[in-house]
Amino acid sequence: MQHIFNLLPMISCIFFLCVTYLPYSFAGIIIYPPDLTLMGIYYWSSYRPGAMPYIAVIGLGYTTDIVTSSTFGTHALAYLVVSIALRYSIEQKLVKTVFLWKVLGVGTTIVVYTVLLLVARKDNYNAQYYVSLLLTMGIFPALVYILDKMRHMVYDT
Amino acid sequence: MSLFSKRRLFLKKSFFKGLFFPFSIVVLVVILVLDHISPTLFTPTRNIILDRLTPALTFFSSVSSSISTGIRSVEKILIRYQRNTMLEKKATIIPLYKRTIDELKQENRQLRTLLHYNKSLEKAFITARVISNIGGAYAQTLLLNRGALSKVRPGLAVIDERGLLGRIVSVSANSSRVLLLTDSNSSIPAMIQETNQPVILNGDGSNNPILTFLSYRYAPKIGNTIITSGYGGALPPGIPLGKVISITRPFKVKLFAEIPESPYVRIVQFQYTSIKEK
Repeated sequence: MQHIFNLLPMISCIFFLCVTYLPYSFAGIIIYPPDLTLMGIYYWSSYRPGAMPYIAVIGLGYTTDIVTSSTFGTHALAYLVVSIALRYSIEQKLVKTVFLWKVLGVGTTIVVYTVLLLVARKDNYNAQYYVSLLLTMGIFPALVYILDKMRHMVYDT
Repeated sequence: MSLFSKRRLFLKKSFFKGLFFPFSIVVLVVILVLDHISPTLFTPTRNIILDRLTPALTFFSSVSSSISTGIRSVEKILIRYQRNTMLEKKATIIPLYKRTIDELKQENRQLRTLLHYNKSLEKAFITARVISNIGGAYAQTLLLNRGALSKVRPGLAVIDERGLLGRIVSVSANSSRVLLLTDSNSSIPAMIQETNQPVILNGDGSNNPILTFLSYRYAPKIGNTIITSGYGGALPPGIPLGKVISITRPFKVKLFAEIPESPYVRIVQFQYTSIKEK
């Protein structure tokens, strides 16, 4: 049973990936959704690093690249760097409180989006892209709340 | 303070496992650079994985499109009454238009016979579901759940009820990718309907593509309609693209079909059949 529970982080991230890149459009307005996969990886790398191995992070990144048709490896690299940096900062006791952890999350999101913009074609910049960035940061506390509930329910820790 | 203490032991053991990190980052960067240099290098790999993902994406997109459709139908009911009144007024003029169309068809047929002109364009449509949204800043593309098995091939036009959305750029067995008119790689042979002036509609990453290869002498007017020209046989002629919204360079065009309103689009299979020499 424990093995199945260990799959929860991976399954939730795959679910986030599918939800993130669904074709939403309401009243003729296209919605650029927040990067839920990034947030999922960030959360689970902090709380269940054993259940979110680097190879899974790379796999999620490549899948995102394929779905979004972005340059092969862009998301894989960004997600891996986030995962490594986060684990390093926890291991070195740089992140001591939940508040600092959330601040680091916001900072990480900005860095990842900046990197993705640099890799993306420069002439494809548009305002909606920043909407996605702001949504990612804005929705982060709500997602943490939901994942906390889920984690306590499944792992009881 | 004690939030992450339980996990530190695990991380201490697993963090510096040999050369995994430098090696994996170097490999990822190499792959990224290779794909940047040669975008078709990993296309077969992408297509194989995309084929596996298509059923899951189709399922999730059907759920999301149900929600979208529900919201949109409420909006449609509200404006339906106004539209009905307007249509009732227009309906009185339709018989007149119909008669004119019949006359023009007859005249067209006679002229074609006189010129021995027999160039015809055969069109067939494939209906496909949109299963992923636009990829943000990376590329303005959509993913469809129809591929080579449904006789979709690169280059085909993708339309909805309002006009042209884009062109198919890559195809796997069960899915295909549409390059939207707004993408910076998109160039469509078009023409200004009112003046028959040929132009190229180039995407620039924004919602409003620009008209290029247009002389100053033939500057478009605001509200001019842009349609596909069909030059080069790349696309069927006469598909509506958009309306001109700026008369200073760059000439911007407001597209009729920026994003698909419904979850379904149509892929136009077209082929010029025969051209009889005079």
